[in-house]
Amino acid sequence: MPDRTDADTTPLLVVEAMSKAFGRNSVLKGVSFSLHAGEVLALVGENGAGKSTLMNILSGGLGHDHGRMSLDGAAFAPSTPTEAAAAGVAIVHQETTILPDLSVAETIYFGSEPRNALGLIRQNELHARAARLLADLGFAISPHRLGRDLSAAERQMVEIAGAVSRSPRLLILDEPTASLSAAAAASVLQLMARLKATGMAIIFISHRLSEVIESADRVVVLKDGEMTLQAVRGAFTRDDLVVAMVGRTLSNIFPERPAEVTTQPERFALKAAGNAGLPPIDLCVRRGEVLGIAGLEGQGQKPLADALCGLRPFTCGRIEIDGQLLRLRSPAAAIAAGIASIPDDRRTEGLALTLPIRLNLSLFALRQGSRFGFLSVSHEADFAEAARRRYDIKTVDLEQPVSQLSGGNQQKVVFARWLAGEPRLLVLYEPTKGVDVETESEIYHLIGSLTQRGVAVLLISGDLLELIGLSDRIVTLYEGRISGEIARHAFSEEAIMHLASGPAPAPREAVDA
Amino acid sequence: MAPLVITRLRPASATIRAAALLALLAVVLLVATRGGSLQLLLDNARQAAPLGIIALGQALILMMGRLDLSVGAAAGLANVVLASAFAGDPTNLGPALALTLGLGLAVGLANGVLVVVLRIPAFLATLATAMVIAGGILVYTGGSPRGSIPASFRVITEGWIGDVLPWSVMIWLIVSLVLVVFVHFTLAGRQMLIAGANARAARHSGIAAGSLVVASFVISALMATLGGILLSAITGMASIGIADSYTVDSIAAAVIGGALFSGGVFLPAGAACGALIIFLIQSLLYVLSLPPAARFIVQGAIIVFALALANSKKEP
Amino acid sequence: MLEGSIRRNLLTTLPALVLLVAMAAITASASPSFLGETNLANLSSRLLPMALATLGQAIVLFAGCIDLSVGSIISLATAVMATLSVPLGWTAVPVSLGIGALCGVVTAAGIDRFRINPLVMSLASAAMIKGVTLLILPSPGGEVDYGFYAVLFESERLLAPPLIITIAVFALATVLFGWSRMGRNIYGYGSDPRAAFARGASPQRVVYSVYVISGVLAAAAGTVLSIRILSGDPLIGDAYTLDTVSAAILGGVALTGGRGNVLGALFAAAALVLINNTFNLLELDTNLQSIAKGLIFILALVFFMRGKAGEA
Repeated sequence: MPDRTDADTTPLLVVEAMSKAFGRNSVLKGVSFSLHAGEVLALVGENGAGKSTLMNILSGGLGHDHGRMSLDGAAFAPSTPTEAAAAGVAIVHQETTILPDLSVAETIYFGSEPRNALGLIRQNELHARAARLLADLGFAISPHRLGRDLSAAERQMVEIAGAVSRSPRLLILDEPTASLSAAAAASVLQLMARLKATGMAIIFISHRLSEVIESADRVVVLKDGEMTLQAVRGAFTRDDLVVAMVGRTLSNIFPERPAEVTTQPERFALKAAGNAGLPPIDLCVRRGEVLGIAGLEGQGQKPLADALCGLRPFTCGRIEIDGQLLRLRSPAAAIAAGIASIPDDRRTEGLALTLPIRLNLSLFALRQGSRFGFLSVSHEADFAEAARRRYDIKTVDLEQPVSQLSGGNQQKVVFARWLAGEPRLLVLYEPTKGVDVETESEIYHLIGSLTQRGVAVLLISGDLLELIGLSDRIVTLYEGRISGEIARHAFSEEAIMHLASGPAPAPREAVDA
Repeated sequence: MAPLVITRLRPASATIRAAALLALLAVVLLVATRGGSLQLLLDNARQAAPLGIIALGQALILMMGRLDLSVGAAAGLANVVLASAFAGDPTNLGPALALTLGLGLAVGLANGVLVVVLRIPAFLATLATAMVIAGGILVYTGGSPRGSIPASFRVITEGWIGDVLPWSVMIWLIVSLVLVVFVHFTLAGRQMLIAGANARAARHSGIAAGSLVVASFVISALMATLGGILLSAITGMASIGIADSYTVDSIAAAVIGGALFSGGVFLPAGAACGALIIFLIQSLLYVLSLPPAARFIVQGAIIVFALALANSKKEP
Repeated sequence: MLEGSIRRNLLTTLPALVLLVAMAAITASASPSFLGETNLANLSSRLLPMALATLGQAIVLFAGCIDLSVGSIISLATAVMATLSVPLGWTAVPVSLGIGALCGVVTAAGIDRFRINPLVMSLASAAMIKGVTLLILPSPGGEVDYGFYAVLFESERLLAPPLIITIAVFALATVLFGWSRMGRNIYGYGSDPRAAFARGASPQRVVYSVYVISGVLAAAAGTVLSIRILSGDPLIGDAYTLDTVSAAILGGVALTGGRGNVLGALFAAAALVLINNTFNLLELDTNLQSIAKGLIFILALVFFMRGKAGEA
């Protein structure tokens, strides 16, 4: 009998030449890989590289155009999530599917509740079973709590518990650690190791390269829908991953940062400013400086961004812009003070998607051209045309709805609108989420040129590469407070993660909350 | 400048579709009535003016992503109040109009406050307002409304400009024009359009979306009041419940004209075509001597058809 | 038994229960005859149609939808009974309920097939149903066989068919919406349609089932109503649309879906019937009642929706 090696055991999952296009936009181009039972595969790539599309095809959420999949040797092409689940594939989406009005136990066993002879759900049994499952996995969450009361980390854990409860052969985890503190993330990685030992195959998506290096048996890197790297443990380095993800070295993507920013005068400062959703916070940013604000998900980034743009104003403390006291009571006041803020979700907070590109572009520019409350049609048209050329917005017709543009071009529209008047402070909240790599680089250089003109930038982001490449200084948020500050020469993913995970001495399990 | 303004006003495809349907219906009506003439169509337009004006207000509310279910009641209120304040005496013109429009303003403000300040979903708030108004009318009139509209005032709907253009159609055109200029060529109108398409984005961009919503309800109620005034001029007297069907009719007219429930669309020409279509269909039902009940079926079916058509064109 | 969401949903019914008890206490202290068996029997026969229609509305609201055709279906059912009860006898009842179900199917089809907003689709259905009703019965009239009345309403005892039917229907609904997978799917869908779909709930099945249930219950309400007035009335149902939404919200059902218990609908429907009864005892102008109901509705909305659902 020959030795049992990787080569002659049948892989659990084989993906061959998988392709998928949305209209003319090709998002997956001939991706092939395989995965054995008891293996962990890390799927790595920038936003928009095609990771989620691939995961959705595997889990029955999307169909594919070309290519083949097989599971345990049998052809596999699930057309619904239910079909994929029946075949033993469970997925934990990044966007959680917690049901806000049902209890944790009811959510975990939704659709497969234990029932009595009359077909009625046995609530006691249901909750007892969930309690056992959660205890087994080491998650300290009561099965009786309602979905709406869970924290981001707890939601993630309930999702994982739900997926594991179906004892899948293949478990897919889409950024399972993005919202978790370092300690909680470590416990999820340990859980992955335990599940792997039971013979489960796991695919996980992560932006944290150290996690990938630590726990993946095999790694697949996607860039613009193409597979740029496939390697097994030990056969790849961190730099290999970065080059495969980004396609070039980081220095080309990010603008040069001048060294003298630390001597510039202070442009904007918060002094013990806070509100009901945000404990008092101190920070300042200089003219021409990019201050990166890092943190795990849900550590106060949203309340901070909302307060800075005036949507949920600060209620205490002092706000200064160029040394002057600023009353930041409303978005209109923020705009008047020269604060431009790019929201994190351009589709819900940035753009009126159904309206023409022109209207979305000209919102602020209109005020300048209008007289007695009437718009100047020609001023608006000129402005829109100039913005299209300046920001290279790729469209033939500015009268098209802005929804027709690609994510990157939509983001350019948002930038063009906000930069119509020269702002003093630019607040960026996840400025490159869902933006293609090319536009991403354009945005970074745009930010670079703004800072050369003295604009101060607050960059709130969860993308560590972006923070490190663009910032002059990084502060970390933890539970709404600043937990640390790092100077440019000391930037590293580890340093940021360390500070972002909160006070060091007794790392609290997120599940205790 | 001028060509730019014209390109801004180029009709949307929904408006063209509605206009085509309207033309088809007009031909059918002319054939069905045999002796029918252009005069007949213009007379239909004359009588459709109240609905047309109310539908404009509804279209504006739909632009804001809301629904006003009180327009029928507000028009009915205008009818009852105008007739009783006039009491058949033309010298009461000033006070009668002021009182009627004042009450309309109050209805709009009430709707706006319920929706914006008390955060009640618009359709429920306006449904409740409609109920209160209907009750108020019954209490005030005791079930038998008094008063009448003097003949000199009825000229606004019965009179023709040089035998070609009914005065009511003229009023309708002017009101449409004012709203078009407001929405497409003023800062406040533009902000309203953006707030309707995406309220969160509008707030984020410093637009006072709440006040604009209140303003839209005030405009809608005033349009409903104006519609009620024209309706009173047509009938010459007050009757209870006379304007009830305008609520659903105005929604149908706006929807035929391309309005979307998701907001952000304002097509007054489309709404005008929609109002005329509804009116012509009613005339046609009458000509074909179908029972009046059929109009309700047509009303509902039109809404379903127009929305199904609009949704089938959208990307899934 | 009462773990998880069931406990929370039961708690949402408490304000309605308190309101009901308070109304009853006030009325009883003002008029001693209130607690008499005849009066209570009379009240329970008034409650039956209101409770049935409110239950349907509440179920639609659980799924995060709304049914503005409830009133039209009630009117249609009275018209159907007024024309068919004499020739068909008891067969008229299933026919009437079946027509109600059909109305629900039409509304659900518009929502599911054509992706029309539930509110607007049910409004359009309401108009079409009203048209059909007016074709069948242009003005109040027709005749409902007295035999129906004799069976349903003749007893002056409290423990008579109206109360028994109410209790039976609500007991069944309580069990179904607390402990069945269908109920769980409906709550889940109403709570977050996208998440429920991802977890395997079928949106089609949820939308069709809630509108069919609502249609049948509204038709049942109309059937009962026509039996009580021994005739049909093409406009009698109109006021019910708002009343049922109002009662469901008073009963703790969330407009945004996923929350509430059928018992809340029962308590609130009973409270509204009591309020109407009090208006009648006070000999209040019926027109003032309509104003009062509108105001109560607004108050209920303000009270129960405070701080929730900023948009919409």
